[in-house]
Amino acid sequence: MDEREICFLDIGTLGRLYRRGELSPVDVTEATLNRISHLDDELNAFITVLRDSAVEQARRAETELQQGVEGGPLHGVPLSLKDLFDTAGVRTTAGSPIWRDRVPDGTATAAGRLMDAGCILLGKCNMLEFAYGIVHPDYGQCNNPWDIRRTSGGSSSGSAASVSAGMGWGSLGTDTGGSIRIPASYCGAVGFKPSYGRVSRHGVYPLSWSLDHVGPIARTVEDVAILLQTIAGVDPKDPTTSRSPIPDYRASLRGDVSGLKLGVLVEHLDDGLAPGVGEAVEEAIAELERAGMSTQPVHMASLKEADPALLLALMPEATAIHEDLLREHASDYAEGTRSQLELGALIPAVDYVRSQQFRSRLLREFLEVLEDVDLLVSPTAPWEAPLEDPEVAAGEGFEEARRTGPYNLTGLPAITVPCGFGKDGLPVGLQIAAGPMEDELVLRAAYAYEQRAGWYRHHPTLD
Amino acid sequence: MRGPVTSDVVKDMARLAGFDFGEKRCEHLAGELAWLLGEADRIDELGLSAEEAVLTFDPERYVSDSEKVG
Repeated sequence: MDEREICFLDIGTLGRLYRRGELSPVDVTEATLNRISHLDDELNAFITVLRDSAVEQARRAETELQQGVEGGPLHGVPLSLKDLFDTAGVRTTAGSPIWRDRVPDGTATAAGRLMDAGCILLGKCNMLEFAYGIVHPDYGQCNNPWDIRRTSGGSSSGSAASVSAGMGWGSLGTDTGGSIRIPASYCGAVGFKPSYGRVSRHGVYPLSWSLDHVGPIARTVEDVAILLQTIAGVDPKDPTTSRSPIPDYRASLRGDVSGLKLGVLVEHLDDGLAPGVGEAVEEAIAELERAGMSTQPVHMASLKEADPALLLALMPEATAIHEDLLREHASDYAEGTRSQLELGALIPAVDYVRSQQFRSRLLREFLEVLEDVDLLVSPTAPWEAPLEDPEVAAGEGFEEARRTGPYNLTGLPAITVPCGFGKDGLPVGLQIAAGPMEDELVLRAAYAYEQRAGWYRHHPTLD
Repeated sequence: MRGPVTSDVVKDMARLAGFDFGEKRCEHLAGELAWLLGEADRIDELGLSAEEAVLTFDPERYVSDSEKVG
């Protein structure tokens, strides 16, 4: 097996080869670090690469595995984090020069759970500044592994690009309006925004308290399930986390999907799609039907107002979070980030409250629809990866997040899984969503589709 | 009916919020804010009643007492 083949193994296979002594965490980590050295000048997926500490962690994992210490499926697996997750003693920039040299004392709960599971931290990934939709020029755009002239999307850009390019087995991102799912879709990866409350956000710098979610990005649904299993669960440091029991996500992937009822969101398939996107999604829906699911079109009247509701909830919260930094460092933000933060200070309080009222109505409509169907499907993004990321508070930004934002507004779980390629030859994502805390159901349906369609076998040819 | 969003209006609103964005930025922000408030009107037009509460996520909402862990 050459280094490239190793770097595209799935987590389950990697673990089996470790335990049989056919691969070692040190060799795998060094192969991955070599790949990062080889490719990242072009991709710009990492802000910080932790070569020395990664090799040290790999040595420790190797010794433990040789001693028969069973650390679980992530033992010795190299991963990365969006540079928004605090990591004790390791620089955490949020993609902004304002935090160029910030080294936190603590580690985000979700990141800590990965490290406790024996993961090897390869580095901290590039991202849009403070996850707010704009590339800061000091860090530059993270380019798409399928076409390096284009963006990998955002805001978890480096997380999606690195995973897609075989520079690690998974990454954690954050999603406030689509920031896990959109870049995963553009890069041909699987990205999951779990239910609100499923994963702790402690130690992850917020953008919007009521919209932010933490979730995994990986190359396969099973790898995403393994990552979610590790990071999910109540956290005393995050009062928004739920004490609901955590199913065995990985074990339930192979459960029966025949008879599941699939709602096709007409408003999200109707218009605004680039050539090839609708066709890829419709073919994916046909594949789900062949897997034994029934489909029916569903309508939701309130989706029309979801675009402005997302902005009106997000912008004042983001400005409240950034108020002190904006006063002290306004000129250090990227121009677009600064403008959006300034605008957030000008939105009348009544409009903010109306957006929060609207969210109650939208959630009620979703729950009514989900009485008749088990799952909802749509394209993840309306187009293949563009050249640059559109601004959040603008028409194209609206359009880009139109299909993902409603699940942030309602807190419902939603995944993107690759479903083919568009007219420009770049990946297209299928979004599957379900009711509150039905994360297991979303993963099961996504896995059934992925295994039948087989797009996960396609990787970008960067080498 | 909202009044027009001019750079002077933006400057005053920013001052009320404790900011001084400067003349040029206020001009730029006026156009963006006018667009945003136009979008906000779409929600206003829904006529959400006083009975429609704001959405708050209760982490225990979908958990029975017997199911709670941690």
